[in-house]
Amino acid sequence: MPRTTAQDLSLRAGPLPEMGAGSPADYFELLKPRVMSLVIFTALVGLVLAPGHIHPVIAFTALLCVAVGAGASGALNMWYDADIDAKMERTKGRPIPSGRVTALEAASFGAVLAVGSVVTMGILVNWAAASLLALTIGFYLFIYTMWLKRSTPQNIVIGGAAGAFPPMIGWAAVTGSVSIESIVLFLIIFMWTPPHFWALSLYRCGDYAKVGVPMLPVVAGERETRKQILIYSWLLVPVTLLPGVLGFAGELYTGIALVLGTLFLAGATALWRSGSDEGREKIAKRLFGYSILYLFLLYSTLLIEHGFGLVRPLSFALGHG
Amino acid sequence: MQDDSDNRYSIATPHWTPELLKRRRQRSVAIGLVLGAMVILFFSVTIVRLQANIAANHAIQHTEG
Repeated sequence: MPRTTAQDLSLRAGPLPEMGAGSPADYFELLKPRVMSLVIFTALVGLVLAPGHIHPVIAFTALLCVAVGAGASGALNMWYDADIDAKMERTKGRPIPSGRVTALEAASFGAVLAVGSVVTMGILVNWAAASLLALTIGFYLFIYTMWLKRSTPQNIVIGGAAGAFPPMIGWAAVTGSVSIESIVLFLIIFMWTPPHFWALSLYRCGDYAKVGVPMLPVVAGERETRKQILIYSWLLVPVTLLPGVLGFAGELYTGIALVLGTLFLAGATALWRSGSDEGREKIAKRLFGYSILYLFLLYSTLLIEHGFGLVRPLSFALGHG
Repeated sequence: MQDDSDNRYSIATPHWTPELLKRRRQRSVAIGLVLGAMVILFFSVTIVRLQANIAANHAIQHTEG
């Protein structure tokens, strides 16, 4: 697909100046603040669950670096995808397609924040967390945005790893290392991303088809997408029970994960069995909304259990007794 | 009389309307605030690290004493 230069975008946007039209709010929008908030939250959970002590100022610094790094990824993604963003209803009002910020400004902004967040994390927190942050930004930009997104319907499966790294970064900020517990926190988000995103793409596939992004419903059809959502949901639920089995979450978490997981599977099954197009879209929207709540509640429960000392390990948990 | 290079500059330079000048000022203030916050952050973390090192040194001296 041909790339769009900054000059092309400026011409398309009309007679706007070559530089300097954006307000601070436009630059803030480049950071994708809604995505950033979820990233901060999951990194916080990794930070709280990790064994050991971290000074609150260092913990704040780690979360700030994760937030800025995630924002940098968002800005670089908007720079690279400006050509397709301009054609999609959902994204055509973003700062670059609307001409408020030029592509070059967005790229420079993202690059400075990316390097700044990684270096600051390395100097002020530790280099293990900084390396994971660099890996996350690089994965999102080079592997997902530049390579997978426009070339394969598996884009969201592999690319989802970028969104799953933040709890590992939070964990590494405390311990300076990666462990099985932090990998499990990664796996939960990794397995959650496909059903979450495919539920959205089921009722947004028109936009993706228009710009040639090979999302699963566009390439394989909505029936195959519903089947894949069901399969990944069945893979996801057992993974969410691993914290209890491994002993770093207790009975409260495991009970809630079971109830929430059952509801997730019920939603995915209803979507798989859905009949009319109208009813199907309604169920897909409901599943997409529930998937956000699902991840938020799972991670909140982990946070509450550890934050308030409520972890009562399962009797059969590994390493218990 | 303008030469070619002058013309090139006159095309590339944006026309600074009052609105654009206001936004440039807002951006400058935002960058200033961010840099100020960075200074405070680096200073705070330095103090935290120093305190931790001093406490660790005291602990070692007590153990040896």
